[in-house]
Amino acid sequence: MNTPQILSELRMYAGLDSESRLRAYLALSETPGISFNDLARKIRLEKGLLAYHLGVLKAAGLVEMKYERMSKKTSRYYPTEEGKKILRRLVSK
Amino acid sequence: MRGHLAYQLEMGGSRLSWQIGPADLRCFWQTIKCDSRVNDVVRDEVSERGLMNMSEASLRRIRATLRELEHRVRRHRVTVVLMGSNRQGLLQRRRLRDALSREGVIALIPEDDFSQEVPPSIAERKALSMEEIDLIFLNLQSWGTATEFGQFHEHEQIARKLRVLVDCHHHPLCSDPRSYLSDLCLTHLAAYGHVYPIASNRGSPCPSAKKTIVRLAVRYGQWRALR
Repeated sequence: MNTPQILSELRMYAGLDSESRLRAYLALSETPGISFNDLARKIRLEKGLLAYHLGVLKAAGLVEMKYERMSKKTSRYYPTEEGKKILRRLVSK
Repeated sequence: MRGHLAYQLEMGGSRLSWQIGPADLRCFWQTIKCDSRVNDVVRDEVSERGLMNMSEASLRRIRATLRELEHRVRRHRVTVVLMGSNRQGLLQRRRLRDALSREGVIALIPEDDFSQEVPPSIAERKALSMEEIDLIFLNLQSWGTATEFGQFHEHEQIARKLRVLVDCHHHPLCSDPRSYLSDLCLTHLAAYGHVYPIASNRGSPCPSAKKTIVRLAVRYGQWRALR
């Protein structure tokens, strides 16, 4: 791996370095397109904290967020292709 | 077994166990064939237990990989928050986020990254107080950012992580701090340090906001790696 690739992986693995965040990521990988409120219920995490963790996952390039409507009242979360590769690597070990 | 998730479920006195391969994580819940009915409550419990088991093992692997990657680039992971004004300031922060991402830094922009289901003032306050947030860059560009600076300065846990960028013409050491904002900058500089002059135009001797932030974030990661 060259340095840019290592730095990219560093960012993504750092994004997963939290139990709550990893649980959120596994849950949304299981159900791509899950809404914010459903995810909060599924993993039983307080909404303010979940908003932060999902923000980190997005900033780390592991997750995409899409709004359901122009009103932006419902957000839905999908794993990115890069995120899926990392997860496959983790599960296959 | 490597690469498989094993579940055990007790229902009606019988114990059932099955294994699911890693091939398709979207279907990692499989239909249970048994005499008892499986309701959604049971399914959610097993799914949650499965998530917990998987996440503990995965977390160990993630941390081992992180240590190896940090060792290879001689840099600790860094997570920063980019605060600033809307419109032009937001576009600027997005370009900055891309530059920081290329350096392996996780850069959060509250307007882009935090879900609208949670009020922004609550989500931001939660995020900025998190221990894993290393640095908060605040570019004083507008009245809104000046208000935020006043609030963050009062909150010691946030103030210690704050890195304030101010136009070099208004930096408290480069000018006469007559305004309340300049005076507050001087107080923050004296108490916490980290108030940086940045260029307002091309001819300025001070560095740009982008150059300042990227250099500081990268150096911070290098410094943490050596501690």
